[in-house]
Amino acid sequence: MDRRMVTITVNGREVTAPAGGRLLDVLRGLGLDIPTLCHDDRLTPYGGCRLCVVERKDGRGGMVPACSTPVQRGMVVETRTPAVVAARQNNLQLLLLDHRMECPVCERSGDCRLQELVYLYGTPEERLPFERAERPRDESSPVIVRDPEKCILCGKCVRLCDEVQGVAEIGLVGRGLDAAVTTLLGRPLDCEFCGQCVNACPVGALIARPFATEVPAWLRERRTTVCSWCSCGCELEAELYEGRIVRVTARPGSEPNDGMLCVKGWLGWDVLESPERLTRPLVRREGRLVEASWEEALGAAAAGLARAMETGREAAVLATPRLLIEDALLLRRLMEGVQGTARTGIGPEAGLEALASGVAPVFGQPASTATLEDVDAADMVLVLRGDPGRTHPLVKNVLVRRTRQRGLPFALAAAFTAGLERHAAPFLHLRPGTETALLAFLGRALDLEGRLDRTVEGFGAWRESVERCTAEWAAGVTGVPEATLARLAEALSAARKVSLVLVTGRGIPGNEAAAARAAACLSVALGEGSGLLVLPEKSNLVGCLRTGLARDRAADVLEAALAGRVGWLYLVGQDPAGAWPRSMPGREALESAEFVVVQDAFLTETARAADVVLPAAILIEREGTGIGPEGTLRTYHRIVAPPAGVLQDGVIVRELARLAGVRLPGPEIVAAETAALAGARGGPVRLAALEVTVAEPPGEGFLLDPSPQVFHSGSTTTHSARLTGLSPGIAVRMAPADAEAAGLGNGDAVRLVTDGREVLLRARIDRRVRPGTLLVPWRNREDAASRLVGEDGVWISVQLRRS
Amino acid sequence: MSTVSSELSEQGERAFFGACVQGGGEPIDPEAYRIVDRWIERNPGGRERLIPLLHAVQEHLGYLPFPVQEYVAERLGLSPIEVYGVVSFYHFFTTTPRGRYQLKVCMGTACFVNNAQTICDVVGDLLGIGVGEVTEDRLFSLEQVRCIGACGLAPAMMVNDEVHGHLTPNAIRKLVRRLKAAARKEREARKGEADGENEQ
Repeated sequence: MDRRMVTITVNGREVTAPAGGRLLDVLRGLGLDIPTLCHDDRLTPYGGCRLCVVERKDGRGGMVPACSTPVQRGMVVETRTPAVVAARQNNLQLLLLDHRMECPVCERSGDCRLQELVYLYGTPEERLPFERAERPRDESSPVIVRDPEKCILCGKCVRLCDEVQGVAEIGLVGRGLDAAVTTLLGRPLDCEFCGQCVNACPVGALIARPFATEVPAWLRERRTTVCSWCSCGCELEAELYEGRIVRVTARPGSEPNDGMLCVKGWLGWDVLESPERLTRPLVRREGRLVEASWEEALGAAAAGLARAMETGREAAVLATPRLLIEDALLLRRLMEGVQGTARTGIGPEAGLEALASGVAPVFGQPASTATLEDVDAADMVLVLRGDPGRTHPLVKNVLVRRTRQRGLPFALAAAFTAGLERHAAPFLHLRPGTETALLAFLGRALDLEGRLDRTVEGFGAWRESVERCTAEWAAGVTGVPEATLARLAEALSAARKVSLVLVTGRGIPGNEAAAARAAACLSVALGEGSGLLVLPEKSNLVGCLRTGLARDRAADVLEAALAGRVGWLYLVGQDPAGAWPRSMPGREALESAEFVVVQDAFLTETARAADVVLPAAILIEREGTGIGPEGTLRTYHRIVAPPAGVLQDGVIVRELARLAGVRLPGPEIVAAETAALAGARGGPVRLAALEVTVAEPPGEGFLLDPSPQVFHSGSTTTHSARLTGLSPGIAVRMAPADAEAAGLGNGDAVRLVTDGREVLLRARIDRRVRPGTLLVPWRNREDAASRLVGEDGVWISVQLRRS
Repeated sequence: MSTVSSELSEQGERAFFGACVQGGGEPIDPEAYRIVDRWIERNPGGRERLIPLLHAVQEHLGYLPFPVQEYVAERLGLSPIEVYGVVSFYHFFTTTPRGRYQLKVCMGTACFVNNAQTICDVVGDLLGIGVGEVTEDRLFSLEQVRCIGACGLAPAMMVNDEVHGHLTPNAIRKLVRRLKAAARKEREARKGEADGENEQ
């Protein structure tokens, strides 16, 4: 919003400032150090701590808080008068009255805003005759310790939890000296453990147990990098001591996350120090995997490759899309150098099909056309397939902020959610896998409204393909009432700029490519200003696609292996035997391949069956480049060294290339090629006819929700004791009503049966689970959802039996 | 909506939200939720309706049980802790049960010099409760209040909104008997109504 500029006087100097803007921003913009404790640029102004007071000399107001005073024409403001200083001192003294001062041993010493301000301003000499109230520490949470005796009631934690995280687990309760931040009824914290509250606490009232350290702030080294858990790519700041991470935070203002993290980005880094990490290469000798030197292991891998070439078989690689661009480029070059026809692919990864075969035919490239900023600013947003709070927490934060702080709505259409539906308007509780039908209906409805751009190429064929998708039909397929469908169509029709967001994640039911194509078509037809943001699961899927590494589909590689044509199979961060859907014959393919090399950080199911296992660096142990969902380059810094004996993927690839006699380009050339991959690249845009298939309604039973869970869902998180400690574990979570009806209590053993497959699990009652749904983590284990899920995209209904 | 008994969470395990620790998990009159529903139906709007709605609920129930606060939160799209934040902020709202008849003995100057303390003690002894407490059957609760502006009637006491003056121990005994009888009648009438409904 453009604001009229007006003239105000600050400390005797005339300056121009936007009328109605925040006075605090103007003063800070002038380089003045205005102290605040309760203010956070990410939150609506609060005016609680009264430290930002300044003196108005234009006869209106006297002392005013700069954080919640709008700029007005002709304002005269003084920021350094004795009265201002005295007011700040008094306010600090009042805060200190009820603050347990143990600065020398406080965990936040040296990094405490209150300490800093008391140092800067001092407090009046006179002591006030009040006793500090005694309040017990809350140690009930495994993660966050709350110390009300240090709390200054700035309310930042409460407001972040509500306005940004959308959870509102904690609140300010009581009044005056009795006021305290607490949960309802003082229950143990039962939240998403995003750490937003802890990171924003200006004092030592909130401490993360895993980071409770005896290392003072000034001895910690701060390093910044990009989080590589999911594709959001948040910037995080790790604090290190003796080379180990002792604390993780994010700075407000950081790109793209503005100081926000999720539980994984905050706490999940103990995976790096997992005792299960592979630290030495393994080679198979007399049928057993034994430790070997890098020289021996690489030699064995190269010898296996040479044998495959001699016998005229194929070489193939399947890599993880967490691979950084430089490493992926080298890997592709290695394979090309080994064999012109070598198969290269990335695994059956969430988001791969959505981009490669879903949106690419429409957009002319496998990429998104909307950015997170577009989503933030759009008039209306439609989120499809899942709750980003489970898969892409930063996107959830952006959605919550736009609606809670600015009143901009978003719609959520998904079968399985985790709380975001409370903020969605409207929320469409879809039957699993019916997003395409919803989008087809929306296409027809919006065109009937005259909202769509009919000049787009292919419009006619697309329009014809959605002709039968009436509201009545869509309601029947999706299970969403016609009135709700109409409400969504109306909201989209009225919006000038629409952002569609397509969530992907392992286990989310439905055909992601079909949904992506339908969403891409709709976003194009909505015209200028509208777009689609596809959220892949893994951090560098878009980057890996652009390197050309994903030339072959994983299924084709498996097929070639099963046919006995693959003589050398190189699996980089892929675990076909343990983590892939059971509909894909990963284990069988491994057995059929002549020689298998696995490069991973852990001894996965696949690694156990390999001929050579090479230990690789992961996540923030790596240096290189990635590309986010929006097409922007991200630079990953190695902020902790991998365990001794562990190498980064690219280094391993170079060594293999040397032994295989393949010349790889030098670092400068790789860097130039990497840089060239950035940016959005448009192709000819063309709508395509939709194939709207309607899934068979499931039989009687519960809906199985195997989609990702925020605490941990996959293979790597399994090795984080902190994350697995927070997650409900391998259990089937169900609504209280369903448990009651089945006569089940927490911890009871149950059998889940579907289509001849069966798992035995413990029951866990969880009010977050919708009645009729059973939530089962995927996990790469025999006793979890991966065992129940047949083919991806199948709407699974399961029977619940007492065991 | 029913209350579910609390399950103690083990270390590191998620607390079970449905657990409503409320006076030993005693059940809430389902009528409480209907009061909320009816009020919301009659008063369209958004989250700004919280305080008037809480007033309406407390008027009917005499207090704001936590499960009802959670229900209010759900219906208004707020989080339960936001609702409790408001409830705990305002002195008027209470989360401890009050009696069907809230007895407020005036301790203002005029009453005080007319033996208000004795009146209070008699009421307390008669009901077997102290100041700030409620009888087990939830029929009576006892409070002391500042001047109620009925000095001419000292010693005086309020029963809900009604003032009773010139109190003597005997008058109090009679009053309590009358109130108990009225409550009995009320209960029977409600029971008959419910049976009638069940038969339909």
